[in-house]
Amino acid sequence: MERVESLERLRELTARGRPVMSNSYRMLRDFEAAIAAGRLYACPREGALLLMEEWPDVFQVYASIYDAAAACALPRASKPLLVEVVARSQDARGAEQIQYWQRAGFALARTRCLLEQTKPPVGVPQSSVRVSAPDDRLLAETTALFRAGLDRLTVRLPYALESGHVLCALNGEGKLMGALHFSLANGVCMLEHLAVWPAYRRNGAANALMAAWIRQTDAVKRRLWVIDDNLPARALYAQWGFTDAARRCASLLYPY
Amino acid sequence: MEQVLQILSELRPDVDFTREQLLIDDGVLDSFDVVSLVSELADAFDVEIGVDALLPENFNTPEAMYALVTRLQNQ
Repeated sequence: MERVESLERLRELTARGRPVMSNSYRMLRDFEAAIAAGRLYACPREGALLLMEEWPDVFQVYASIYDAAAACALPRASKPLLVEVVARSQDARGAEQIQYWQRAGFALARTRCLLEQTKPPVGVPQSSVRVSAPDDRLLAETTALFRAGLDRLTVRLPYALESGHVLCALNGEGKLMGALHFSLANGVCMLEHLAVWPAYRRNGAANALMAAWIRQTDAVKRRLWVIDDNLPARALYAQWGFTDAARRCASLLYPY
Repeated sequence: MEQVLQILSELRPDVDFTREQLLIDDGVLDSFDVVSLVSELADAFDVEIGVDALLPENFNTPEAMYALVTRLQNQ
């Protein structure tokens, strides 16, 4: 496993022609931050190139597969490996790739679907829950909240939450009820994480966070991934005008 | 050029590609769309689109995509 030191090196590694399968849905510039932070590694194999981006909990694998029949020799790593296979809803190639990773020893952890806000909110009850930007204490509590519900959110958390991209719902005593984390790039505002402590659910915290997120961010488009069987979340987002964007993501994990 | 528009409309039937001018920069197409598109364009025009070509300016408009595949065909 080599650390990728530059975009130039990344270009050299990826100059192997067109892969027969790939879950590397990124342009070169999307790897720049990871390269600069020393968090991108490469594992060239005979039938594949594995790029691995290191996160606190996992290595996320972006693979270009040149020989789907060849067994993929996985690198030794200090954390679990995460593969995400994204496909348009009716595309069979997603299923083929999932099978490839399952043959390599990965287990399907969860499936998600992409939603995009295409309609105005309907029937959303008003919430009086206070929402504010976090200070350092709340940011630490928000990290703990997201980490506690990791199996219900996206699999990986970032190294550090930016306070400018986090909203906190607080009770009357200033205690954290729930939080929302978002990202903004190229006019797309992505809801990355939304969680409410179990003791505070059904108190309007989620609606207050959604209202604050939409009010405070100026975006051409709003999107989010929701786990397929997370029915309460899907109901919430439907009320806020989010509809199916015809894209699915399967997350597979290889434990270490 | 019609072939490029056909590929785009099959990929994203919800988008009016005759009106959008900043498909990447405005988030109409994201990285996943681009990678899917690369595969379709490479097949349709019988070219190899390398990672170096995966730049926003090559995919911001249908005209830019057509210019890219034409350039690659002429190499």
